[in-house]
Amino acid sequence: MSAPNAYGYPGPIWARFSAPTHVGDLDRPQGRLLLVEVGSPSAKSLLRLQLDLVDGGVAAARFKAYGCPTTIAVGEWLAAWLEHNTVARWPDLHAMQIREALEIPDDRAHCALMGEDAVRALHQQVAA
Amino acid sequence: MIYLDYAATTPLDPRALEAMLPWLRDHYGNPASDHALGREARAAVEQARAQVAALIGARADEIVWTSGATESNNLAIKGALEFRATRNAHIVTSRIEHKAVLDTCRHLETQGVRVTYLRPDAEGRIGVEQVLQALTPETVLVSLMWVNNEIGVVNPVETLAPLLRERGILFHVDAVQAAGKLAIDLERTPIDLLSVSAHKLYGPKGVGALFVRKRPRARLAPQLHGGGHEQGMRSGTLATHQVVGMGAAAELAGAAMAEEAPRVVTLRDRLWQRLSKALPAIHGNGLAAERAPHILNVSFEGVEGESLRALLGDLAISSGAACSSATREPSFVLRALGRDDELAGASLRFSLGRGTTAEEIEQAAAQVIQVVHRLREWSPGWRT
Amino acid sequence: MPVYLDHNATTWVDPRVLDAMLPYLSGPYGNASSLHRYGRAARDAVETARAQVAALVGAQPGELVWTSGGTEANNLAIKGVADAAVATRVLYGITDHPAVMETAESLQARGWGVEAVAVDHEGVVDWPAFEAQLARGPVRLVSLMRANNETGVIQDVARAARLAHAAGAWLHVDAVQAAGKIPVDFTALGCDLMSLSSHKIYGPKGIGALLVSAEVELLPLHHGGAQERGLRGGTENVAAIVGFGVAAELAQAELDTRAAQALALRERLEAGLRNIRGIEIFGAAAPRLPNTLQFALHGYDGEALLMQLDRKGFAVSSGSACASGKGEPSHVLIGMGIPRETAKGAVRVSLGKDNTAAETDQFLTALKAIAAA
Repeated sequence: MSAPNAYGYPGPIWARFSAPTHVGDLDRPQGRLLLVEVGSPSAKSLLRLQLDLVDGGVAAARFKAYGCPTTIAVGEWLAAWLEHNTVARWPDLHAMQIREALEIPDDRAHCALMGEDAVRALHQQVAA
Repeated sequence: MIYLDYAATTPLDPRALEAMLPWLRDHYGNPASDHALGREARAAVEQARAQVAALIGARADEIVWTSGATESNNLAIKGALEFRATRNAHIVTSRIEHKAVLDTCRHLETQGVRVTYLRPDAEGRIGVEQVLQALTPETVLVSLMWVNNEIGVVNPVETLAPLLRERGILFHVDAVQAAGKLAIDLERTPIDLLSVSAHKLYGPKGVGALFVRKRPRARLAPQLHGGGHEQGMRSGTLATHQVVGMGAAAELAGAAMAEEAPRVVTLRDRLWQRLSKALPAIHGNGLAAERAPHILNVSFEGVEGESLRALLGDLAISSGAACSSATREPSFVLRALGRDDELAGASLRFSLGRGTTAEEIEQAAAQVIQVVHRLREWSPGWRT
Repeated sequence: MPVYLDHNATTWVDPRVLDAMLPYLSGPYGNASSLHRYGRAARDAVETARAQVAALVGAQPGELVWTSGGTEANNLAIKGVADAAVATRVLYGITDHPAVMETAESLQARGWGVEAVAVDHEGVVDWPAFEAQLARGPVRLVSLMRANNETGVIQDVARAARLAHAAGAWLHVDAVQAAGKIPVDFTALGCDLMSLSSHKIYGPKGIGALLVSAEVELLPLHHGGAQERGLRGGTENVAAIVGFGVAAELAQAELDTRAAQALALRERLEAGLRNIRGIEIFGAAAPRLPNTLQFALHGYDGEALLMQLDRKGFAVSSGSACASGKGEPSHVLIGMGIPRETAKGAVRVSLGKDNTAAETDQFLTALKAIAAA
């Protein structure tokens, strides 16, 4: 079943929200498991990212999210992005890049900030 | 697309459209004109008036045409208050009324009128005792909706009407969701003013009516001046095709009610059975109370409301009353039922109608079940 | 079918307009305020129509608020301004439509000073008197019709706007009869508010509009719902709005043709009428709408005349359809200083885009027969 984009979400948000491919948990990581949770109950959004870190590279990334379609799309986009970018590049990811990639409108800018927070927290875990 | 938003608006019945078309073609006279074309338009308007009156057990001369329920509610409340022009007048209404009633009351508050906004009880209803206790010696009007548009719960207006009559207090009822769905007999029920809308009962948009009782006479100050149409209560050229459409729709609704109401109840209850059997942690709102046949409101735990609606793009449903869906204000009635803002936000109103089929109900249930499962699966907090 | 010469009372729906409306009457679409798919299609249609109607009168789409008709537009303009202001004075044209006159008069109960603006014997604003009125004290709003529904007399509203603005007042113009018959430009005329109606220009009944310029402070008439920028609650009547839009577009495109045809017919009719003894044509020396002609036949009662014409198959009126059947002489003619006895004999002929010379000739013949009897 594929629902129509009846409320007119921006294409990049809709594509990731309606058919995410990185949802889930990493139950049996091959390497080191990283896990972060960002978001706030007051903003009614929660994003959990899990990474399987093998030899300094990301073997797999998975996410779970509760929130509006943009929150879920950010989770999906981040999981894919993390799988394709080395740890060294993580600090370069800014909310603006997420907004541009997903065409996030102004009133949902906080969802992109949440994504930036998640990657920053992951980087701190790697560094620790 | 499966349309389950009949409480927001209904499609125009083809038979009502057929009745309207001649008045959009050759029979175009102004009903206020004194020539042959005007007279035939006037006759059509009067026939439609009788049809609408018949649906609610009123007399034809108790029906005032308006541009819709919003205007009917405005005319009833402001007209009644303005006519009395009492100092310190007091109105009793509820927090779950349609915006047209609430905004009108708020406007009157700026003019010095006092208003009591009753809270619904734990079943989403306004109780008889609750209304009586809110009355003061200054109370001139009580305005309540017959059927709540969000959850479909029926307010005890028939019990209240004689009690308010005894006390000499005008009673206005917004019957937009009740007309054509529940039997309304104003000959027996001493309601003074009653609002109805055509486009909720398969008539055209842009037309409604206000019942204004003749005996004892409910007096109103007009809210639209100029020309003195509608016994001086509502000026403006009548849109013949519109009122003819409403008349035809009212007659059809009256004739279909006995069969249609139980059919819709069966489908509505089947929808709830499907959902409640497949999905844990959902709440049917107002199920314990008496309800109109066509509305089912369900709150879903563990999913976020916007994502829920977004993935259900193939269902035309509403999160509540269409008139407030742009503002997305938290629902008073769902709050009263004990739903917090988050759960109230993850609530869907399914409203069924004449076009709803058993197959559509099965499909809609399947889609909702699938989407709720998916969103819960995606949620980090959901325990399976 | 009768010979229809009562187009200022109402017109039929142009078949091209009805064709545009039908998909919105029979198609599956939702409440325009709902968020789902049908709702968005309906909302797009409403916005297209908004641009079409605004274009007819040289206004911006954002200045337009839908109403249920001209009466509601006039009520919203006058009460809406009054409700948002401290009570001072409101002026209205003495020959204005009852929807303006009675609405303005209703403000007295809310503490407003309400005064009529006088006209001369031809129905044109008495400018020196108007200026003196404005100078007498603060005025919040002046309401003046662009063209009179009975006599067709056209007012210089640009001049009224300049004078009103100089006195710190806004100008509301009732353009219900003028729009689509003569050029009307909301912006160029300097209007602050303007009322329009669909069923006078071959659109459906039950829909109208009020134009409101950005500076005007206005409160809604009908409370409830956020539709129309909070100025007019209620579910949109999409089919009627779409019809009004197409009717406005057609009226704009065909304005010159319609006006020229109507004027030629009216002049032919007027020339014929002048041959009947005891005929008086009202506002004849003033600029008038090309399609409108109001006259009295001395010694004949208007109602009786109308009844005889009706029996012979001619649909005309004594004046405003809204006031018909009340046996009162027209307030327009009384306002112009026409004696009551003369005014009671008034007959209004208002031509439409499809009337023919044969029809007006038949009308003349019938009238002459009645006059000779």
